[in-house]
Amino acid sequence: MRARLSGRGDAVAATFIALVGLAGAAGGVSLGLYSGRAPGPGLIPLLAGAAVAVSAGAIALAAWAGPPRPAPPATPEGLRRVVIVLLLMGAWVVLLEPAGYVAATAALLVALLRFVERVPLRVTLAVALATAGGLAALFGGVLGLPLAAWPAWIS
Amino acid sequence: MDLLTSLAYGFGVVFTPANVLLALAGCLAGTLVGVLPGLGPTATIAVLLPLTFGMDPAGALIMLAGIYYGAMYGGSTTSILLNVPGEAASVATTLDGYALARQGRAGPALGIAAIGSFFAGTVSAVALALMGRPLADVAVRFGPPEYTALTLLALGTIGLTGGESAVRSFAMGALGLLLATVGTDRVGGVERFTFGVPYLYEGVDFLLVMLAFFAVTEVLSTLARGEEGAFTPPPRGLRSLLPTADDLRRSAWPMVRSAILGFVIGVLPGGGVVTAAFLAYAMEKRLARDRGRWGKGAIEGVAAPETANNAAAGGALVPLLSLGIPGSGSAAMLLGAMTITGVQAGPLLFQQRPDVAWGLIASLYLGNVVLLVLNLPLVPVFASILRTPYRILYPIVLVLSLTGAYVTRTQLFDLWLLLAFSVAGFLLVRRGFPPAPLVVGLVLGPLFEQSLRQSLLLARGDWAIFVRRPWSAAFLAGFVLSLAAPLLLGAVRWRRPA
Repeated sequence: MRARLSGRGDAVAATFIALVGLAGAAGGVSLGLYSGRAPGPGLIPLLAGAAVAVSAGAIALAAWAGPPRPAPPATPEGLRRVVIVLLLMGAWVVLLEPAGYVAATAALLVALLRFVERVPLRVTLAVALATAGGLAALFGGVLGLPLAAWPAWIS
Repeated sequence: MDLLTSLAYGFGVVFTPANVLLALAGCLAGTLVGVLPGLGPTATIAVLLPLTFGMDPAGALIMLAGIYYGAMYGGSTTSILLNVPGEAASVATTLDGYALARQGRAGPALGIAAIGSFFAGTVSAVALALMGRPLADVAVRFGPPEYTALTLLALGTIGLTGGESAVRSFAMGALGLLLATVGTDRVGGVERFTFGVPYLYEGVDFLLVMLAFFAVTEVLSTLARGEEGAFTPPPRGLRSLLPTADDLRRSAWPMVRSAILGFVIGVLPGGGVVTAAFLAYAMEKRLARDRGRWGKGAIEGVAAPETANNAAAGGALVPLLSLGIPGSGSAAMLLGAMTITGVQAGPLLFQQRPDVAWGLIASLYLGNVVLLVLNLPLVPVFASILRTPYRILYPIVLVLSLTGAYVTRTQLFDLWLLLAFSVAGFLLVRRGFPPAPLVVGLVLGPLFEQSLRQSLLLARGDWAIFVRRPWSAAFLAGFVLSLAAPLLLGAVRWRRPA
């Protein structure tokens, strides 16, 4: 099954989009298309969903019917880095409020630069601290945007 | 006062040492803040508005105009260098601008963006002075049916901008339109596709989608390919960083056409810089002899949207100054600044406060001169960012994207949404689904829905209203043509023997 799908990434992606379109159109119908002669809240979701379903459905049909296409270029090491980067970004989101912006951002940069990219420690620390501190000062200090630079228990 | 005397009066107001300094400070601050993701021109004006408190009205508006133009240019800079559009109007610029940067031609792309912006500003200032009032009179006759059809035309043209497959572009544009319906229905207050999550009541912020589908997706795609560096380093030396004579020759006519188109669209309240930028890109791609270069680093692909969005920004001042109607978010901020300083925008502005009205028009020109003088020497500085090793640059891009997504509403939910969209963007873009149409659909969706529903309310549900009104019918015909053109061209190519 996995082997059959590996060359059909286009078809899988298009089918997924078409299903999202169908769900949107169905949601539109359930929201109500008209209230008397006035258009209801479901009219645009129906039209947009139908447009998505028809266009993505056409792509999916062509992709399933045609020969399998080679997957876009990617190395196993590259895909591993993608997963690690996404996990580290998720960790930043979890850390942001308990640790504060500066610590969470510096930690993310150290993890990416030192442990994923093997950048020398001195460069890593310089980039991490300058970026985290600089952005906190710029967004929170100079521009006055609501960015909690430090954890609540410190401030 | 006749026109020339009025313009001369305006330049007299603007060209004082204090006002020139204010324009310079505004452009510099706008460029520096506009470079940051999450802060488009409207947000930049809002953030920097307190700087103008206590100033005289003319000085305050001159500075704000500088901030606005600076922010527009700042957004283009990150679009070209890092594939991070600072605002929706810069999305069209990423299509060819980022491709040029990857080829080591970031300098010429930034230079053409600055020159296009300057040219558009000049055209806008002249057009605003010459035709502002008559155009405003025409624009106010546009009703919901015309806006519906115009938005539909802009959505239709995305098939011409997105990538190799018009159907994929159309699917992504429609998906953006569907995504725009998430949240509370503005007419009836009904929750749509929120699944009971309160954070979705206000809908999906297009900034999250832009950051995810452009900035983060680009980083993830580069990492997946196992590339150590995404860019050809830009050459050293000022001459090689500026546009060549060939770049200028290729961009000249696109700039002229895009300036006119952008200004006219900008005059329409709600017409918007996004519509202008994408229509200009689509128009120039359609007119180009060698369309194969588009999307892969055509310098005209930077010139057209950059000129059009700046011209539209100038055009948006027509309804603001003549009628007191803000045609865009940024114009609304300028209107707010006018109100704060005690100036009433509208038909009497030119009689009651000619210093403000003509001063603002003249400041458009000054702002663009300052921007050109300021930014052309900065092109090598900006381009040198790309000499940073990619393994150091991409973590900073990710941090900027996360920060930009967070500061808008300071909701952790937005960050999870950013991650979800990033995964979707990575998977879809790898499979050839272009991201730009998605953003266009998302940005234009609310305007399209509002005007469509208003039109049908006016016509008591009769859809024929869209073909009974001449402008609306003309825009609809354009929409049908924009959809049919790729299909017809495809059919012709299929029939023609290889």
